[in-house]
Amino acid sequence: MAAPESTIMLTSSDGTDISVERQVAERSILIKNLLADLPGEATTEAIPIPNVNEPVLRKVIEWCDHHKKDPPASAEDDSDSRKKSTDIDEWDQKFMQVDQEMLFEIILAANYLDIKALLDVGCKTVANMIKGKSPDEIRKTFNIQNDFTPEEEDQIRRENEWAEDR
Amino acid sequence: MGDIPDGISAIVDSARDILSPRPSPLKRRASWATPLEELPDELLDQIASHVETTRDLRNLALTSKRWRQAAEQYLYHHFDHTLYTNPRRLHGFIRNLINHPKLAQLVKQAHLQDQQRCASFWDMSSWHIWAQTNYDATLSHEDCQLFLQAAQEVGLQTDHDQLGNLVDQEEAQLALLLSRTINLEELALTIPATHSNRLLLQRLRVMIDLATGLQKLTTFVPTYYNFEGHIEGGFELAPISSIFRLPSIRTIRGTACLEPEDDAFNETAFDCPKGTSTVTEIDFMRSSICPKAFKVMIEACSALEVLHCDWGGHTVGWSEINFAIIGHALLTQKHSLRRLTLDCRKHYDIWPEADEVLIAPLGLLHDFPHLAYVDVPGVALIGWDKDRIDSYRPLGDTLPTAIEELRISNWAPHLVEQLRSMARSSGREYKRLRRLKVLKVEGLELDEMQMLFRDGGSYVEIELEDASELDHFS
Repeated sequence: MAAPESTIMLTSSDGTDISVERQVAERSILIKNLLADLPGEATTEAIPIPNVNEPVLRKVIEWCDHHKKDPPASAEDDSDSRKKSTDIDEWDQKFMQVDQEMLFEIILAANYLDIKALLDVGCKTVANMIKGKSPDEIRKTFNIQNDFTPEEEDQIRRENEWAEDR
Repeated sequence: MGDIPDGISAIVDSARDILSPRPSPLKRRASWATPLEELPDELLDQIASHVETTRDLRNLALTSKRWRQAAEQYLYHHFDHTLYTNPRRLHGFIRNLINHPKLAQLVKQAHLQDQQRCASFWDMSSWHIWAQTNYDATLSHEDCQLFLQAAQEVGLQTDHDQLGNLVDQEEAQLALLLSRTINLEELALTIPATHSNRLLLQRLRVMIDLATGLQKLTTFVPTYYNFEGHIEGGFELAPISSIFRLPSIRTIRGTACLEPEDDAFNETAFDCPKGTSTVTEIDFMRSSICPKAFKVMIEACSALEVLHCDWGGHTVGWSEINFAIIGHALLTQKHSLRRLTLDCRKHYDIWPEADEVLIAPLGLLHDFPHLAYVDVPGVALIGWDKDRIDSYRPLGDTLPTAIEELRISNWAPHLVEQLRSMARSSGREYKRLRRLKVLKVEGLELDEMQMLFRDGGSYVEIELEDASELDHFS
């Protein structure tokens, strides 16, 4: 069996081929598992990523490239269902300074490609945008349609009154 | 790209299938559209999981129906409450759990602390002055009927009796709360000096006896707090012994708990039968637990894996630690014990003291098959016999053969010479030993120990610890 190729080709949903270091691409568990199932020769074929368009895929690859040396997440991290820290490192913060559409595309792509650390950074970024805002301000920020009747809203407000003080 | 053999091309095709388009991610849309709302529920949930404060979660829950669903998962995951400061808040929370059993099922952690954790009070009298005009836990008429009915459903006594009145006593109301949170996994309680046998613990005991609550509790975290100036009293084990009888309980993690005297400890009040508890980890930090109290806890377990105690706190200086009692009890856990820490460094600076003639060690740990981590004082391993009437086993014969990491805190007479002879046979007797941390004492040289272990045929990373750096108050 041939040695694994050091670069592979990914094809975005809009048909662009992007060459990427194998190690970088393997930050995606989806791609990593796929490559593991393929014989060495087949990795010269471009791998289609039909759910992610070129700008988003390039952005995701940029993140994976910066984080290619990160240790893999331990099982312990995964088991903690209640993640407390909204701390994001500086590089990631800058990386996430994109318009909302791109931010949610990155989250979707990270989820689809199974890149847990990127998914977490994306979700933390959104969580930080929610921090300290009133319900109205959150709706405005994300253009969320309020589908409660005034009575419903009032009731939920009363039910969750206990949560106001901390 | 050359021709690919048929077999491989089939694999590539199947790879294409795996990657084949699922429902398209985001539909192309006008720039004013709302991308957030097009995320699947699963990702809304992920985002909500990163929202930290209950206030933010509450606000998120008010934005739309889908967000309410996602946010409430986390809003109700954890309930943190300071007793005797804001009963209205507690009432509101319980009312919700009664009206919406689905929300009650979401609660996994409850942290209930006493008012002394609250910065507004510094002693009981300052609280009393405040409470006279500000504190009233009486239920509203509406809540009263709702709560009493809910309590009846789970068999909690509802009339005013020795267990307290649900209508105006916060601890009775907390017990009702804990009977509704059927999926609760972690319960942290502070236990104040002023009510060492407090109402809530009595209520919990009734609940556990009737199996009407806490059935999924895995972790119990008792913490004992003193108001300034109150050093008497203390945490007693008996009121929490019923926790050991819960069907899912795994971990008891106490902080600053006191059960300081063997002579005063009432073994019969600890009512968990031997060998029946599912507890696998007993962990006490900055606590003073007498060996007899450890004995009943250890023997209650069916397969204890971790025992950890860091003796600290007010009474530590004068209570005696009888290692033989603990060692004997540990024999019942021989086949499960993996880690043992008895940290007595805050107990005595130099120990044994000059006037002590006999200190019995833990006893044989040799045939504990899984005991890989041991961190105990030197005398706990080799004992001290001033008159050498009945010599205890040397270090080299008493350690578990599975040992990987050994830490010897506190000096013991003959420790240095026993370490030397143990090192010489280490490659044969203790094949898995990789780390050794010993208190720095006179006559013990790092170079010499490293050489002895090497000559003994084992590679061990050795560290000499400087006891002068120990912080006795942490």
